[in-house]
Amino acid sequence: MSKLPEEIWREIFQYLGARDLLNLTRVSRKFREIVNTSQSLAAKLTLCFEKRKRNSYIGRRRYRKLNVGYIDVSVHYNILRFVGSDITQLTFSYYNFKLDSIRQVLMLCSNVKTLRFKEIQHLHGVADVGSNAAVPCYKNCEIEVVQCDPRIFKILKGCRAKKVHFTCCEFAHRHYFLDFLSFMSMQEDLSHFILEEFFGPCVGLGLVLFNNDILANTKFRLKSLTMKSNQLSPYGHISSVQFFEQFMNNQIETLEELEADQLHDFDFTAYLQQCKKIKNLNVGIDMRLSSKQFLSEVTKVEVEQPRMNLLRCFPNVTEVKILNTYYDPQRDIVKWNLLTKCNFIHKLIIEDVSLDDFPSLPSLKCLQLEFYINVDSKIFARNPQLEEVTFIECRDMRIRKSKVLKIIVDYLKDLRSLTIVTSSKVDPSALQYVKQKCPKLKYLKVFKDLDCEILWN
Amino acid sequence: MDIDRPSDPQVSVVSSDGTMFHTTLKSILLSGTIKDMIEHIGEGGVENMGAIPLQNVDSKTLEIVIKWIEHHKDNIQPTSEEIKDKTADFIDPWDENFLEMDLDKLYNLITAANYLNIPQLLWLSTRKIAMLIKNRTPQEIRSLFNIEDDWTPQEIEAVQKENQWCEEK
Repeated sequence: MSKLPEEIWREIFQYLGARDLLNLTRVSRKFREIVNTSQSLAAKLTLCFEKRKRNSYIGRRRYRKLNVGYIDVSVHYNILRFVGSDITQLTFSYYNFKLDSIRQVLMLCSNVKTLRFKEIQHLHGVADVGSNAAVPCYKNCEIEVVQCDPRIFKILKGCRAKKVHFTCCEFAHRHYFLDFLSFMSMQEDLSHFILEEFFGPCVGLGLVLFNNDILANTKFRLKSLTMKSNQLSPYGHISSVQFFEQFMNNQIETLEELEADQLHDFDFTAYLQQCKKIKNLNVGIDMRLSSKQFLSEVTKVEVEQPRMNLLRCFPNVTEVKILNTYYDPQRDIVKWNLLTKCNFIHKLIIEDVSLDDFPSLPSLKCLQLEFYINVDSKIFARNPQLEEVTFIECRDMRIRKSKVLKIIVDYLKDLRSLTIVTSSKVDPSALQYVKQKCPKLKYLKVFKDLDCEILWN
Repeated sequence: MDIDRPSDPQVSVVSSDGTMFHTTLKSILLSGTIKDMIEHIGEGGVENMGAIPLQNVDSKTLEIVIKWIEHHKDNIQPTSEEIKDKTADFIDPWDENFLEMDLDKLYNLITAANYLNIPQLLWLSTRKIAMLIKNRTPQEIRSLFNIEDDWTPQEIEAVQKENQWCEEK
């Protein structure tokens, strides 16, 4: 082989695919060096895999995204030696991984900004990984763990995340939970935390939690906290509320966004004095909140229909979303008059709840109606100042026969923007009519679905 | 000027070991290196030009090269662009047959094609070697090219460890 110069070998290797290049790296030191030092061979490797569609390795010019599936873990190791430092989005998704493999891949990717683990239901080889094994210190990264074996936390503690999103992790054993706690204790820069569908049937979870004090004494201060659908079983000796409280005590002063539910009988009133910065609040049905308290900083609120009386606590709110969870059209009468106390409501999003007795709200400019069977036109008669109207999947919009649309435009002389998302057919003549009747209309679009396929522009 | 071959005069080349070969101008112009030389001689020079010395090519290899360029003087495939893009896929059966030679000859041919700058011949011969590597294990590749196993025991261990990691089920 010494008879040919290196550049000729490099030319020869250009004809080969990834599998053969991989073999060449094991032939001899020189061959290994030739393959390793050639950028074009690295590119060739990745392109080759893209073509064969054997995995979802997305090779943009600088290979920013990488999905690691089960099949090509072996090949990835070699690819990653070339392109690892370019990768900023790294995803692991398969039901089965060896913990150490993940760790090794992470070691090769030094600049990851977004790290995802999806549906890794079984991690093995956990025992081989020592307690000190951790991955590089990714600063300011975002971590998402969806439906995974929680033992993943064993290696994640080196990460300094700014945003963390955990969904559907079942802590079947308290040791797993300890790994999670030790991950949390290492975090300093965390500002956004989302915890959903957290299961904890493990015995003694509460003891672990209270003996450690970790969540109550974290170094980070959150701006945004979401805790939804978490189910902690009584066997864990801790309730969801206690878990939430552990967290809240430390974070309440810096929180700007809070979304939480399933906190049965949680008394939020006690915390209200401390929430000075909170702007965006999604109040769960179970949370207790005295309506004598005022939160004047809150500008954005999501609230379920039966809890609309909470709006009294937010006199300065500008954006309100009313959800129809727990709404029973037979029984519930919507107290729309509560809205008249909020003098600054600019935008209102309403999910299918009855619009009977909807008042006149002079400050209201944007209205979004979602999932209505029948749109009541009185709401428009009473609010002719509306400038932006959006209909999302309002099934009986009768866009075809255009009746509702015609009524609407007869009232709304100031209408500037009209957006319709519908799966039914659209009658262009009705839309033409809208255009003629509303001289200020600048924006009129009809989408087929929320993925924004435009039907009419 | 010869009336029978008005546009294709005879040219001679001399190998490194002193053997003289005769071929035609059209064939020899497939070599980028010689084309450059001839262009520098200037007008009327070709007929009076002596034999071109080729220091880096021995007679055995030169014979093979000349056989190839004479066969391809009128029909050169694939084009240089295709070679650059590595999109060319078609191999002339004549070429396939032509390349049946032992590795030492093939090495010399590659070196000569590289020196003489004949892209198509270089493409064919390097591709031939690549085809030999294809679908072989590292050990097979080693014995094919007579490569000594130059790993230290630690490196072997490291590679094995890596393989173990690779072959994880």
